[in-house]
Amino acid sequence: MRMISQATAGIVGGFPLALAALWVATGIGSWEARVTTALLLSLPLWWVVMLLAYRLPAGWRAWAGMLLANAVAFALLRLAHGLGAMGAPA
Amino acid sequence: MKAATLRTFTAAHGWMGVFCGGALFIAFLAGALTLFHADIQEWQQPAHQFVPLEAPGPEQLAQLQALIDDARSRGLEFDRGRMLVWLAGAHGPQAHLQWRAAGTRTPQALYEVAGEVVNPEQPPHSRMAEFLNRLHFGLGLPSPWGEYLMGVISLIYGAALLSGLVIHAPQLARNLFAVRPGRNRKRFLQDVHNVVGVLSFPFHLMYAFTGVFFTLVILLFAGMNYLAMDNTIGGFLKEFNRVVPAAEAQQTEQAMLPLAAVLERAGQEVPGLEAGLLVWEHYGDAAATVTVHGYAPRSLRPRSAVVLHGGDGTLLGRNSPEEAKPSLQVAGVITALHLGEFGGPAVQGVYFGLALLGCALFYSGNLLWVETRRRRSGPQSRAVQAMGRLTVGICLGSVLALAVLFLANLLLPLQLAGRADWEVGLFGLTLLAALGLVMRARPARAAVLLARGAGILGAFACGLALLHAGIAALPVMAVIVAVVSLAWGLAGISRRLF
Repeated sequence: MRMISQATAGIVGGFPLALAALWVATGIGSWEARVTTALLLSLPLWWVVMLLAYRLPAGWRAWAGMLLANAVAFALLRLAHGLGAMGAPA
Repeated sequence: MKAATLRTFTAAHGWMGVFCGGALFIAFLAGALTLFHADIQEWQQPAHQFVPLEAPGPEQLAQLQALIDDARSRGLEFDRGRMLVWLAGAHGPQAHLQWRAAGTRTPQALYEVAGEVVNPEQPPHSRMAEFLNRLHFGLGLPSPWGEYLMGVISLIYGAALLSGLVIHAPQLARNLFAVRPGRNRKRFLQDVHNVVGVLSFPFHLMYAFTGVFFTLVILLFAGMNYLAMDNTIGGFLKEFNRVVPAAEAQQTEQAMLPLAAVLERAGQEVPGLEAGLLVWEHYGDAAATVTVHGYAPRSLRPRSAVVLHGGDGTLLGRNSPEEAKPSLQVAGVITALHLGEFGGPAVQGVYFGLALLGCALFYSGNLLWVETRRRRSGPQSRAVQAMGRLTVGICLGSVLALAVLFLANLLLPLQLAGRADWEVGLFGLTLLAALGLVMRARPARAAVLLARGAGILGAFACGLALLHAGIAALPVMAVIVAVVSLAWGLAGISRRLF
């Protein structure tokens, strides 16, 4: 159960963190190029987060860590969008 | 590396592998067959329709042009004037016209067989190649949920691969070629698992990456769209795969270029283009466009497309190895890598071999998990027993079910109502029966029975196909022989272990 719980925490937590890679990718070429690069960057990052989830203590602390990661990732994404750092689709 | 870290990742690798092993086995098995999609499409035709694959010549183009004119004269309704013209070749052996009537979701097709136009309402007598594709991308489950499930499984598969690398990195060089046969069955299995896993690691990492991209990219986009971009990228998503933006109809009649002229113009824009599909939009209208999809020769990203004006052949856009927008470049590379579309038959063969080795990797990984726990918690542990039985039932059962599918395709009468559904139904029933067998018999005994059954039925199917189609069926026969041999090998491993 512990392994399954942590894997799920990693998947759920990794998703917005992967999206945050978009922010990292801003500034590369056109808007379309930035989105595509972000998608490519996001998958390895997602895996790293999934593996890191196994280093967290089991149980609610793993989930709390991942939810915190979610919150930070979304805050970064929204901040980047709000500041216009992501640009806009053509 | 700390012992605790190693222990954690070893446990994580085992659990992730066991969770995904069965699904990945089926996906890799079906994927290996999908590499021969065109050959399987040729196999699934009734004997009288067997036509050798060849480049579209003047006769085929004239036949297709006649089909288009026939459809127009009969007033067949096309959804937004959209019509697909498939040329015989990599997409299948039968040139045909395909469209979707306005307001419906079911595609209809128009063929010409021996000078006679086939009733467009008549359902196809077989969807075997299409089913194998669905089995590969979504385990045969309803779309898009099957694809999403396969995406999550690919994601876990990628994490399992990376954790496997972490585990083996410290002794990678020392143990790489250390396969130690002998009385210690677990050590032998572990060695084989490690060697296959490490040597084919780049191939598996590529599949995990491209698999997640194919199946979950829409969710990633949706997440970005709604959670961070205030729903502003919907237009971008619609245009992601298009070479040029969709045009509106002008409601003015205009004569269209004949197919031969369209292909000639496309060949001028992408030299050597091997065209396979022409997509017409607003056919007969002054705003009509035709997109010629095909493969550019000698390219690592061969999938190409040329968009022309349907009336005068003016170039509107191009997706070629030299020139494409970023989304098409990325999607093109990922597609070429995933489907092995470059390098010709040699790469196809390497992909096929690596895919079957991948099946062996997942099977041996699951058996290792079972063997480790059997030693730790005793042979009577319910979880250990269930996992062993499920591994044998799902993996070898799916090989038997494939043999039944190929045989059913040859034996079911052509007049049978819902014949295509019967084929898929028989596949499912065989898989369920295999699971029932492993729940009752000892797994080792069941493994041998399932492999034998697959061998006998596979041989029967090959013999029948040889009688029907002669050497045209040889590529698929070779595939069946390879898959059945894999099942025999895996049954042998199971017999030594259980």
